[in-house]
Amino acid sequence: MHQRIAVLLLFVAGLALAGPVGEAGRYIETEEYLDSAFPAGVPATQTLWLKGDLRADVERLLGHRFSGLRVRYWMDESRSAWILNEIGKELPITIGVAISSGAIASVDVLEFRESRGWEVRYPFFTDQFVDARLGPNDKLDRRIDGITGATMSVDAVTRVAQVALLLHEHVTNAN
Amino acid sequence: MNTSPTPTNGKSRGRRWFRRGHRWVGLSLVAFVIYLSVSGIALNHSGDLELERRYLDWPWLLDAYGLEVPTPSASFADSGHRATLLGERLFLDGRDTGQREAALNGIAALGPLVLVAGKQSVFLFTDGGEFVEAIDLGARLTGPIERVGRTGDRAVLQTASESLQSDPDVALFEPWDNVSGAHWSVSTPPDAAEIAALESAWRGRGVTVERLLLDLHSGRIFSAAGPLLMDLVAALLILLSVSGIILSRVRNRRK
Repeated sequence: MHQRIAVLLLFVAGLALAGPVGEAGRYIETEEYLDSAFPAGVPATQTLWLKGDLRADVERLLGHRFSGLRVRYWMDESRSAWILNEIGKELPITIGVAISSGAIASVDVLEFRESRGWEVRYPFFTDQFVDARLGPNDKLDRRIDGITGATMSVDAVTRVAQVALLLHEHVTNAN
Repeated sequence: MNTSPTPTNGKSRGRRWFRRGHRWVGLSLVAFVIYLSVSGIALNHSGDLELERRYLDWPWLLDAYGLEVPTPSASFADSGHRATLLGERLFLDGRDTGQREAALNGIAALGPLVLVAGKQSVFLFTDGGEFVEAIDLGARLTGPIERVGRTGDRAVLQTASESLQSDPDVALFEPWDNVSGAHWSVSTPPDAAEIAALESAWRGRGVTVERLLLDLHSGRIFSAAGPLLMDLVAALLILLSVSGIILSRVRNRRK
């Protein structure tokens, strides 16, 4: 009987010490992310000023004012990568979006700063964006399933995916 | 003559006191009921009313919250621009930039752009103070930024073991070795007028309406006694409900 109680107490103590399986933090460094987005070699950093209609379009997709006048991106012939910050509830989530030929190649959460909603970093969620394109009204051409308890983070990642596709389209047309 | 109250008289006197007590407790709680209801309704619609984004800058309120402005930990000026760090909040020309940084190591005015350097990041602003971009140089640097300066229209950064120079757009930083040709940023204290402007800017965003309402609703605004007072009000409201039911039943029985 005593042994069972001891095992139970050890189990409970183990759970308490183990903490949550996933949590907020910096998951991927920028260089590491870019290396994975461009396996053949990371192209030079470029910058894009957000002005006029482009800025208005970005802010329409985000639903709020964009903080900053310039974004940096990396682009080779048909592939681009964007690292953008978007607030989930109160703090910004740093998200990397790689786009190839107008469709999303990958979405990665580089840094998550809030105490809830970090589940958006996992592939079961981010893989839903692969091959997504912009449809009518600059919305994604597919439905992204949410995560219970992480609605605001899910929305933030979805908005960033839309903005990255829009910016990719803009720089591709400009080139 | 027997003046002692009969059982019937005692019962009716008791009922009278009970009714009076109910009435006076009810009247004394009216203000609290309105107070709790209004604050509760406002909090229920906090998102729609954007209460978490509205700030109050009443000095007496900020004093009540104990929002003391920290002493500037670092301040640098260049060509009419001044960057100051209060706590971890970065201010440029007396305005809160909305950016957070653990350390401030210099400022460089580069014509249309102003660069402010932290420990591993640089922040770019327009000449008018609009935020352009935060550039994280953490992986690019061999150590924390120690000095910031300018040479012509380019920013220069120095760590313990290397120096970097920006391109004209301040988008990229490359190794640089002409350290003696730079104009380096030197820390200077803000004057009294600048400190007053900084304190005003710092306190201006001190308390959101949502926080004030939450503290009013819970009673925390009145320090430790506040929650106890609200507990008492809640207990009296429960008593009032029970006494109301009892009085109502007594009246129905009489009918």
